[in-house]
Amino acid sequence: MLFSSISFLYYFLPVVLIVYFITPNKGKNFVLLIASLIFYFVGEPIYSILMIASSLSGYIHGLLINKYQGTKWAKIILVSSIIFGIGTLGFFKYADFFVENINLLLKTDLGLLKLALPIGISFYTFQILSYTIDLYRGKAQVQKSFLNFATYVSLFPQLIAGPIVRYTTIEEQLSKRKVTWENIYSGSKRFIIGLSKKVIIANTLAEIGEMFSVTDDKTVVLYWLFAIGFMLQIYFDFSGYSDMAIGLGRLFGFDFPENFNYPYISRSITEFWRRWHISLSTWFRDYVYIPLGGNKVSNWKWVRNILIVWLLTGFWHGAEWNFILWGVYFGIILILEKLVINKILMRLPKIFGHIYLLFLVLIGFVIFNANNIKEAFINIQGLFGGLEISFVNVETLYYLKKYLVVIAIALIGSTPFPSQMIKKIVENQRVQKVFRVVEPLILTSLLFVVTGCLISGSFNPFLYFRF
Amino acid sequence: MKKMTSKFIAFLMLCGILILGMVVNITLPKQEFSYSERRKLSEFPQVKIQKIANGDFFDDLEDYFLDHFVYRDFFRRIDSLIRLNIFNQKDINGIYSINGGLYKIEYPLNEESVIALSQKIEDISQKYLKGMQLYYSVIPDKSYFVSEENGYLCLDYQEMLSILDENISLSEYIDIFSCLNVDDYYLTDIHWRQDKLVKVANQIFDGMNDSYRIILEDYEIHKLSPFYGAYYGQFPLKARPDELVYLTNETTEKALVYNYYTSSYTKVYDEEKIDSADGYSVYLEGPVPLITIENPLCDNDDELYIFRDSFGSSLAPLLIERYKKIYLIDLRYASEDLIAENIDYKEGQRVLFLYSTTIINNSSTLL
Repeated sequence: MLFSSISFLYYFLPVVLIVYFITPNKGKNFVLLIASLIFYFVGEPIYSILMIASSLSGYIHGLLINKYQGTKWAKIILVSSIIFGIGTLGFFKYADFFVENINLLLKTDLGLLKLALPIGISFYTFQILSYTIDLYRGKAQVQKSFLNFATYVSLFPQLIAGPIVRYTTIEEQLSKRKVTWENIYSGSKRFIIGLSKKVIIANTLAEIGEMFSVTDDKTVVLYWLFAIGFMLQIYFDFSGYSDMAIGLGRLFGFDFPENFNYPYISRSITEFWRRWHISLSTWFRDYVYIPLGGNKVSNWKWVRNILIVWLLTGFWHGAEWNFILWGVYFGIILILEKLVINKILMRLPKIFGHIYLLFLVLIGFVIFNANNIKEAFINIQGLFGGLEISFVNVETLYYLKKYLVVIAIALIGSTPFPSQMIKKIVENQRVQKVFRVVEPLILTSLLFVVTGCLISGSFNPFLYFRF
Repeated sequence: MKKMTSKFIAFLMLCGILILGMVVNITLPKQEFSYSERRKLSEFPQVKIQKIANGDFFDDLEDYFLDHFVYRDFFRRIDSLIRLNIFNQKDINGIYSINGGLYKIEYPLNEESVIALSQKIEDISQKYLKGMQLYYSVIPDKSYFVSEENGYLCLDYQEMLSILDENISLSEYIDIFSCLNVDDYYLTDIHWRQDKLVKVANQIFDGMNDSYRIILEDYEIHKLSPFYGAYYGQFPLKARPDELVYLTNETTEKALVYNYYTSSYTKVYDEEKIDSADGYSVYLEGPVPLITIENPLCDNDDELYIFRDSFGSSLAPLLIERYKKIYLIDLRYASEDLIAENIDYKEGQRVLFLYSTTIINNSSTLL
């Protein structure tokens, strides 16, 4: 089930909200768990069992780590939990990748497993690992209630698309949380804004990609339109989904961490990754980079650590070489920035940093969006006229005009400018009173528009839920 | 406190819409058919273990919810308004509106398709039509008249005609582009209006070196409304439905129409079809593989074979004035071999290959 679907908006969510709010506090986690299991079951009937098994594994490992805390067994059990989690993820997500490459390298003919990727496995696996690792490190308390633990793992607002919520973030809220009208309203608002970002903006931008794939007579400008369109689409798609997750979490009394902080206003890749998919980059930082030594090692080891983290980051996104290349691409840039580039950028006017960042991120997403490395290079060549294609044609101009406004809206929307402007306007007391009435009307209108888009449009799932 | 009250009310409003939406969607009776979209709406999916296990049930359920959402057309209009007025897009899913008329973007030119159709015409001509008088004509889609000057993508019509000319040697081309204009077509439909086809019929007679002519005044004009054309439901903003026009005279009333598919006799015009999914089926039963019209009032034995698409259905009742019998062959529903098993192509008679630019550009639809 997707948040941006009629089933979710007009059937699942109203029922869950009603049942949740009329249930006494003691029963709220149970309601959430059942709702989350139903939510997952609708999207992934068979693999619901896998998610429950993963939750059970995390829970049992947690109890055992707690029991043997301070002994060598705690470490062994921790390693066991990591092997189970990564092993399960590796099997379902990467088995065929390895089989294909073994066949290629060794000229064998091993059969592919052709397993469907369980939705959200990359997210909930990392969440479970954050629990066992933090428990081992003494940063988290053991969760003795399987109900509470399973609720944490399966919590539907962030189950299939993040943010990756660490156990320590909501540890207390699992057993003690207060739902205030302020949170309910701000949660609803955040949800609707996220929904609008996804359905109205991201889904419209996705049409550029669809158009590009069926166009035979591509031009240089069309390649740029495609690249810029995707760069904006993936931001609004993913950040929209994170907004929805955070909003829904707030409705139920949870405080999920922010996952995006206007990444496209960054002036370096270093800054970009502090603003883009924050929950993932911090996860890799805390559970891979720092345990490897981080930057408190020799230069060579530091380079090694960066490359390992970014290779894994790329690999986490998909079982294809272009994702690995994407990750390594950013790893190399981060190294170069630390060594050389940042010093240069600091001396230049800010605009250079912005252009530098947007250009590199755009190329990165061209690699990310391709079906394979060959296609990635073809698309990059297309951007720079290396494919013996014309610069522009009638068809390209038509589509440029068709999508220019939505691109402009998306560009502005990807900056803090609109929210800063609204904040400034409502500083005035009188305006604030009016805004208290106008804001809900705007949100209601957005809900109507989203409904219109969903009914009118075709199925367009969130890009990241196959991770 | 006031702030909290307003937030409480705001949340109730938002939540209320979702709950009200759910209740209304569940309780309102369901439609089976959408006339504005010309299609059957989804049914509630069958509850089967296998379908639930593989997720198909839930996908079908979502389709069902989408199809039966309350005030569906109203919500589709909201999406269209956003696209046209906020995003400043010129078309909605390839459909656009100019002066109340609806048009579809047909682009780009599919040269392979044009060549394939040309070869098909040549093959049929060589295999079955030896000794006959062969002609072909092309019906421009109505975008031809408006697209370029209004900045919309359109086919390279000249290139299409050139390719046909280069590849069809056995049939003579009859140009009808020059006698048509945008007003000869329905506002909400792809097709042309029968009351505007007298000039087309005469142009075809002329192209066949036939001095026969018809005049509009010999016909009685009838109108059926509302006629929701093919584009009406695809463009959710309120368009005015058309009036479907058909022409009758003594010939059309006495004509014998035989539908080979249903093996039965029928009428030239079936008025009841105006209320069906395809209102254009009023003319000669709509899409059928083989249908014949016989004119008992004709004083000669001339026959005409028309290989056609849906446009031919409204032209043939005008052409029958001249012929003893017209065969209407639609290769989208039966192959030429199957057709040949059912009819005799008589030497010396005339054959007309009559296709719209849309079909020529998508000739894979022909069997």
